Amino acid sequence: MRWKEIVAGLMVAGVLFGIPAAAIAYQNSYATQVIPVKLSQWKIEPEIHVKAGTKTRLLLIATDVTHGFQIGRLINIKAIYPGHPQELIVTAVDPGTYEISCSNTCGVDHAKMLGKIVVEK
Amino acid sequence: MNAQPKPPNRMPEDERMIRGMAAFGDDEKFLGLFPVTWRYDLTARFPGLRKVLRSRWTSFLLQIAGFAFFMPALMAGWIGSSVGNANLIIVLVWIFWWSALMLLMVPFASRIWCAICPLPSLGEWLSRKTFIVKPGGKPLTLGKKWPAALRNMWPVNFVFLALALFSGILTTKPIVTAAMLTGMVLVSLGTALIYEKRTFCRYLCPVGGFLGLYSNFSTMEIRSNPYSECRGHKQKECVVGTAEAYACPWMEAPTTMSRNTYCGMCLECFRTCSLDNMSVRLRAPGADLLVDKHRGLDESWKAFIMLGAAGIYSATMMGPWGFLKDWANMKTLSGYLTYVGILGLTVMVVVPALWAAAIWAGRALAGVEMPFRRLFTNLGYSLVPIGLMAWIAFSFAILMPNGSYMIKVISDPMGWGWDLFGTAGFPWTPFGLRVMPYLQVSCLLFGLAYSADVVWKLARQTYGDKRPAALAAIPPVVFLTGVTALFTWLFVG
Repeated sequence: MRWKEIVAGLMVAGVLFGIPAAAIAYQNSYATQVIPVKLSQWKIEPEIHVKAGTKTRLLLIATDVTHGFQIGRLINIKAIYPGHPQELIVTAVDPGTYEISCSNTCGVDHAKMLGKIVVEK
Repeated sequence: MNAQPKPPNRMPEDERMIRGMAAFGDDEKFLGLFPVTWRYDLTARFPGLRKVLRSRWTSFLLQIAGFAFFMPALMAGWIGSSVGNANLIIVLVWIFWWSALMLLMVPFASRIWCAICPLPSLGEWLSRKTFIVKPGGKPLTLGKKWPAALRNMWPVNFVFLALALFSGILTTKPIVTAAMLTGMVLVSLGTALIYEKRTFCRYLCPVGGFLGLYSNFSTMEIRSNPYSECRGHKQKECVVGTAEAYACPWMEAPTTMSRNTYCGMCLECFRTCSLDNMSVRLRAPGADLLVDKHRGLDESWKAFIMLGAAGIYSATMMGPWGFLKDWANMKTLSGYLTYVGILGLTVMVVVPALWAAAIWAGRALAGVEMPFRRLFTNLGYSLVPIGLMAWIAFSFAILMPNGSYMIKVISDPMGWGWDLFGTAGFPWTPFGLRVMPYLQVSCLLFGLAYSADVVWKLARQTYGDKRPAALAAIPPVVFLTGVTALFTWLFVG
């Protein structure tokens, strides 16, 4: 009967401690930077800083109305709905500063809704 | 050759008597379709199933499976992304689990969730000092009895209501859900060390309350079968336990248990019964609603709370009134207090008052002397089908627009940018939105028809005569029709 308890105990330890430990170990090996980006009338915050050659995950969150997210001519997500964040995984290659704009007409000052993504060496 | 005779597919008369269903014969049917006394014994049909249910590993593995989902979700809640739909805990608990509970588990498998639920497991293992095998010696608990005055559904009513007041932030902020679940684990742990058996599950768990009430509508039950075998069996191992298995942890008497309300499907009764007389049976939905035993105002209020909460949640989460959502999400203190007032007043006062008015009018129409409280309580069980169907309709509106988040978070449960299964980039893809209103309205109409039929049966059971019963049932049916119209307007209006 003792073997049953040992097997069960190992299983419990596996889920209680093994799963969190595995998750943290995986994260340490994976190391992706996650940056939440808030889109609101008429701001894009914060200024995004990424390192060239690394994978970065942008979480695009529209906080009031439907917005878009455009980086120059490279990327254009046309509709990000409030309450439904979208993710964008980017790997920047060339260092420099790129302009971000809203690509979905979102109100009177839509044209002023600009931000920056800075790719560092 | 198996010499044991197969149990009948209809509930024998002695069982109908002991289970509080003496008023209903074999020709009685729900909606003219589902015979009230029909039972199909799955354990007699599939003998291998009994072996599985008797094994102590079955319960343990179900609990471990629950933990395997719970631990990553809890971890995601505490240290993962703060964006709700990018975090496993919100998607798993409030979209996947909730929908599975309402759409599948409660209607078809009673309180099967309680057999899987990881929340009380740590407390149970610690107090028993074992995972599987029942050890000798004293358990690690003071083993106190829950206060007699609180041995009802009132505590869970208030715990549920207290949590319901935070529904706005609970369902959107991962850390709040994580804090709630951690708190429930700690409370269940403390309860297990102080009180006997599954006191937490039976008297404190906010989920257990509505699961208990709505599982009366389930098409599955665990009962002794045939009951006649138990009548002559004096040992009653299911109540006192054996050297190898525990007495019913839910403090029920499995031999005479008549309703699913407090059966957590832990399967201990299968392990204690030396006669192998416990069974899993299929039956018509709602059979327990006709059981004229253990009815009480605590359960009536649970029905009011659930019905009212379904209405308020539907209006808040799916209605066009943005200000309601802002109130629930605590944007301003005054707004939040207004929301608390509306929710509390609706579920605790307005719905019960309207029901009381319907019962009072019905009693006046019937013109036969009948204690008001008895009629109010008995007929109150008719709110279960419409209440459950309203929650099912609500769950469609949660699952179909938001279910696709599960595909995304399964690859990235913490919202840390992982892509475990290559689906992290899966976009938000609502599905079936065109058919959703039809599903919702069909559920509501089915609920209305079933509730109206149950009202009629309960009125007949209470009055014992068809004419006053028919008259007394008219105002409650009007109430139920109004409720259905309101939900229809909320969902598709």
